Amino acid sequence: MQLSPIANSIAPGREGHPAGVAFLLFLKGYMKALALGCLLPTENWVASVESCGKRAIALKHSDEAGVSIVASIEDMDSRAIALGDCFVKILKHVKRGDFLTFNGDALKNDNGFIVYTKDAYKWDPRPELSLAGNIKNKKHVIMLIEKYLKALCKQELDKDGIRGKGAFGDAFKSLTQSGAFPANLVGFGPGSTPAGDDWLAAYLTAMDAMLGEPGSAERSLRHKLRSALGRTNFSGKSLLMGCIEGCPPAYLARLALAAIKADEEEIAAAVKNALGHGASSGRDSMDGFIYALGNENT
Amino acid sequence: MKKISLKRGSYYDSVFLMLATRELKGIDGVKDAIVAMATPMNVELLKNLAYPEAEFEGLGPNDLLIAVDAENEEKADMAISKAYSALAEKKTASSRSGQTNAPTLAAAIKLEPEANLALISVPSSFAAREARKALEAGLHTMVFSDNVSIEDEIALKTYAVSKGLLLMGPDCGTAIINGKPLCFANDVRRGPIGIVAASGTGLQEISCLIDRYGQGISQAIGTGGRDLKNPAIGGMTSLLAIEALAQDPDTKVIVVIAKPPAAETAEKVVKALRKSHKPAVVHFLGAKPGRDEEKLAFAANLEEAAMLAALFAGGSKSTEEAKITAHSNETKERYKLPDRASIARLAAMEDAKLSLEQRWLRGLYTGGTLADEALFLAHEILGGVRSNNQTDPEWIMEDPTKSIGHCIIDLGDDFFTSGKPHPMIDPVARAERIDIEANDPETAVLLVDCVIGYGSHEDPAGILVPVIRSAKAKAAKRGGSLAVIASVTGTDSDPQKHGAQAAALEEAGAIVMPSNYRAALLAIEIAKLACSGGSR
Repeated sequence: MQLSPIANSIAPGREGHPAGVAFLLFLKGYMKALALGCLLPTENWVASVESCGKRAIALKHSDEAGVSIVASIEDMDSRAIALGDCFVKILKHVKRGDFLTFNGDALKNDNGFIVYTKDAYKWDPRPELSLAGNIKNKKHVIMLIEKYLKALCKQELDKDGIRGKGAFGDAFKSLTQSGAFPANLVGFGPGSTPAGDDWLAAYLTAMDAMLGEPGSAERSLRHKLRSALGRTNFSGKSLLMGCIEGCPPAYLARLALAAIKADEEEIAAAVKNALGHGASSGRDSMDGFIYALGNENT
Repeated sequence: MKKISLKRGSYYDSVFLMLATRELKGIDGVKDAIVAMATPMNVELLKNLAYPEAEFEGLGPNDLLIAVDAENEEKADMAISKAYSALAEKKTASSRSGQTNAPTLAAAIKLEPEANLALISVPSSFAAREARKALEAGLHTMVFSDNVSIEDEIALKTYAVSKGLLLMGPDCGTAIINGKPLCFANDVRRGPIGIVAASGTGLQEISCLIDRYGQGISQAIGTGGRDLKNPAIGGMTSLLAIEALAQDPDTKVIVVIAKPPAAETAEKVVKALRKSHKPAVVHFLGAKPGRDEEKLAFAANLEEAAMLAALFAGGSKSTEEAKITAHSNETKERYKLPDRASIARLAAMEDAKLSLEQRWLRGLYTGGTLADEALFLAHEILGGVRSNNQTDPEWIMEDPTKSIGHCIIDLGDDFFTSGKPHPMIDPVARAERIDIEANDPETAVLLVDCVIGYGSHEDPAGILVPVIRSAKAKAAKRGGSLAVIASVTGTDSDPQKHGAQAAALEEAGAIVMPSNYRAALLAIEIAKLACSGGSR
């Protein structure tokens, strides 16, 4: 997969930079973005910092959808900005409640923190997904994903989620019986990104991967989801916005590419990588992915 | 008992929400709990679970809801309270920051792996070794320590340049990096002017004047006094710093201040500034200004350097335009700078109060560059001034503790500070020297600096005030008067506050000038009149 090698080749580090821009950026606390998500709003905007984590900072854009600042290309999504090694520095400069502004060339705050984005690589998984072909042996892929889910999942965290026997688990079962399924999952469930959104994101990604055309499958569902985006929170909204356009986050793109290749080693790595996302996001998305592959109608 | 609590506009990571849910569920008496985003689907779910509907009004998907089903209200309240405590703790932890002490550089790097700059202030015999370690760790390095050998400095700077890192120093006492004052530096506003300085108090004076002129500093990079002066070092740090500022989109104007560099190094500096394509101002203390170019201005003093930089930053298109503006009467009024005629009038008034035997200028400085600025000017105008900083061998003080004739003394020189704190940190030694000069009936004018800011004494004017009063009283008792001329290097944002320091000095009878240059001009003018008999 091309995403990681590109990241490695352009990741700024303390070694190997010629004197000049790079070292100055480093001196100033300036950061240079590695990559910008292909659906990141390019006009001037303001976003509030909603949370600061070790791998990502969640921003809420004025369009009420999320924008993420992430460390690694592995954590990219269509509305994210990847910083590479510089990510750790940003945590010193921003905190929850701050506002960041973007002017097309840079993301900055009032404390002098700046991320230059002008020369950043535009991250878009669609060309690679499109060229990769489509998933042919669905049963084999399902078997491999389930095999590694079983091996890797922390079952104890599942009981409060949509697979559990609590309120969310019961409601999920009920929603799957509805004629509105799966569109009725928007904004449903636990998690900072509602579990239903994770499920739907992976479902759409798998449907596209089976067709071999990102953004083409399930046109009717996509239309319904677009009109239902107001029913989820900002992080669910940005996730779904990307997937509706055939541009899933990197961990789902990786899983789709592995599934298209039907390579066990790559599927194992992709599942493991996906499970590292959020408390239950990765696991919830696996359910959506498997559901899409196993659905007779697909 | 089903109870709901809301936290509007709140966002917490998934792991936290899940753990919070589990923790609430684990509380004795709590049957069920949900901590989730208040999306319509989740609200619908809670309504279906018979949570009170009235609670859901006005909720949005970006709000957090905490729903608890407990045995009784007390248990429910306890669970909700616990959830809020966990949320508050989470928030505090995420915004917590502070200072951590580390016993070694390696430990500090481990504690702050994202740090990009190390400040080395250790006994000189260890300084080069620690600086090397910092550079090897990929850190820009500021070496406050002095007495590092030339060989070590060359080796460290060669290595730093090869890694694209700045080695500021050795003996670098001042820098402002990303708005953070390091060592002796002032709280100046941020702006488009970048400074490269091989002179500590020179950097402070210029940055403070720029602040006063309404402009600000992007970066102020100290290089260490030998960087440009010593041909073997060849300005390695200065050239790298100029290149950095040239590349910096936030720096619109570059200022270089240093004592006269070696000729070939000066040429390299000028070439680097030309290459930057940015307006630049150069001031080599004690050297004749070079030939101005369209966007490269040579300033005659620190004040002019600051003013030209501020004018370039303010939109002046060329050196010629900036210089015309800088020297126009309108500009002087704007910046409240007394012109030469005003200075002459002030000098005459002070001279008139002197007794016939009072003749000499005595400059007692805590800042080395400020002393140099006054010295070079006084030596040129008065025709012979002794100093421990003199470059003219005939006029180097044989014994810096004894003043003969006109003297300008740098009390921060190693001669005075060996085993003692620098007078900017502890100005008492200067106060004692003022007392000595006041006892000399031939002293006509006392010229002092007052450098405030981070690192400096908490109230240097407070130390000067009683001794100025006492000195003036002694002169008056002898039938004369002692002119005390001062300038305050600092800003009102500094902890000591420029205005307060200046007011205290004026209250004690000192004339406080708006810059060291103006203070020196006035003191020199008084001394000139005093030596010639003036109006008396």
